[in-house]
Amino acid sequence: MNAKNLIIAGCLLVSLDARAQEVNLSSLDAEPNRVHVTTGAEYGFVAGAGYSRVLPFLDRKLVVTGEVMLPWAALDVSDYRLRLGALVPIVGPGRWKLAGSIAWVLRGTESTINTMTDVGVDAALLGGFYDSRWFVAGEVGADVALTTKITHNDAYRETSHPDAMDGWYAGPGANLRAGVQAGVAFARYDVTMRVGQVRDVAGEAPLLPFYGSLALGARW
Amino acid sequence: MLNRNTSRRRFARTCFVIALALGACLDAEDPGNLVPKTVVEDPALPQISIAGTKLHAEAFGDPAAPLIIVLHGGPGSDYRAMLPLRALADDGYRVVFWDQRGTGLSQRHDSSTYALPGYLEDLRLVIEHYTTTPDQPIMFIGQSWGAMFATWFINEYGDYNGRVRGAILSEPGAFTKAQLDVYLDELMAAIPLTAEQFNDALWSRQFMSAADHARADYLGGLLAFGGRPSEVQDPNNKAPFWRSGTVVANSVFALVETHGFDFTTNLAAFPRKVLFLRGALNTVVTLDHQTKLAASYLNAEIVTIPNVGHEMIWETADEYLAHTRAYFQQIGFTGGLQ
Repeated sequence: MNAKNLIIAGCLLVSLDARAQEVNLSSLDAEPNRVHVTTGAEYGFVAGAGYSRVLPFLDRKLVVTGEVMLPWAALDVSDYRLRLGALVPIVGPGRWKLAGSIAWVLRGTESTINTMTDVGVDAALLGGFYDSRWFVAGEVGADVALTTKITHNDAYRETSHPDAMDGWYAGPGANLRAGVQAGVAFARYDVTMRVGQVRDVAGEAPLLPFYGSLALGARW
Repeated sequence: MLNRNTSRRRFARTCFVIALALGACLDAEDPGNLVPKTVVEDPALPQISIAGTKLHAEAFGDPAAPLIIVLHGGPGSDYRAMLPLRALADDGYRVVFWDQRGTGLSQRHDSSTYALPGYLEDLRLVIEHYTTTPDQPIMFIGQSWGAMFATWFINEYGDYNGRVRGAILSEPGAFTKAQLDVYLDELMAAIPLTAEQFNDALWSRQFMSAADHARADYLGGLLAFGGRPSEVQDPNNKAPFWRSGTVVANSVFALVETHGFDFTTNLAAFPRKVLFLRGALNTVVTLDHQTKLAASYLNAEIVTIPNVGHEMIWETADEYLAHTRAYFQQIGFTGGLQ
């Protein structure tokens, strides 16, 4: 494991993350601290853990979020995703609510042909019925790779393309998603799930054209 | 007011820095950045024009010598790993290499332009392009999909007015849609869900979208690099390739899924002997698998090359060429001017 991977692994171990996109919007006035663990499928079989903090924001509540996610099917700390963002309720004083979220994304991967590091942004709209004990909502979102640094390895140069260009690539891609999420609360614990479909910016299905996750959270 | 002006200046400065940074970035769509240029992007590459497309193609040996038409795999691969067959030009043959429509370094097309009859017609037109005399003998050497492609042609055209003298078929996957379904099931079952390369390919879709041919081919190459586990490639001698043809590969698979195919309906009428060459290490294209396919031909022999998998032409070129020459001698397909 090289120094970069050690640093990333260290960050992952100490990272406190949360998952603002699976929050019961009816519970924001209660406990301000939340942690969770999650697993599922999203660009691979993934597992993550996180922390979020509910903060006052003008006359609303703001859920500030950090998240770390690793693919676990072939565990490799070169593959990771870090997300830092916020969710804010937009409208809905009753139990029907609409919220928006935006997050900065940093992710990396090392494959058979290259190493990639990406800076992106993820924006989503969530709307649905939020009871204090359960919720069900729809979700639409866009995950945009703003710029990706690609470094090709020797194997790719020797086997395929000696003149492949290393560097930062602007706007190499984006994925859109639409799905549903639901959750139930038991005392100070939450169980939430998300399922949906993914399409790339060209309208094509990526290799894994769906996402789904199950999360267990605690509040205090 | 001062604070507001300061904020505006900071915002403008930040925007300028971001614009400068993005302006200095590379464009994934620019030819040659991620994948090699096609014949359209680099006119200096060897090429031919047929049926509204430009194919990356080159031929070695005397133009009047018997033709060996080399057919690469995929669909959506290229002929780079088959170049050891160029040695046959020294035996007095005209060896023709070409990247099929939409793959390798050949011109790219939208998926809506592909049709199965046109794909087959490309092969006939390539033959005619390199034909110098009406009765010039022809031999096919096809690998994987290329072996299926050769069989498709033979099923459609027979011996093509006596010109097709035989074929060397290296690990064809299927000759019918039913066989293909079984073959693909076995091929996919041999890829563990926990395989590093497979999961890297899934994960990489966050970093890049297949929004144009260059990116689609690059991502396709990421998945195909090094071959599938069942093909057992030598990790220390990886078969080279130029560029995947992701759109054409997906299009051809979609077409055969929709329309089905049966390349065996006329094979029994093909009077020539066909040689099947397979690698002993391939765990899906087994001897039993190839025996079932060979049964569709009237006269076929299966030879297994030991200690090699799917990429036998690249990894054991000398042995492959030795079997090829022996077969040519056996059926009287001799080199030199006709």
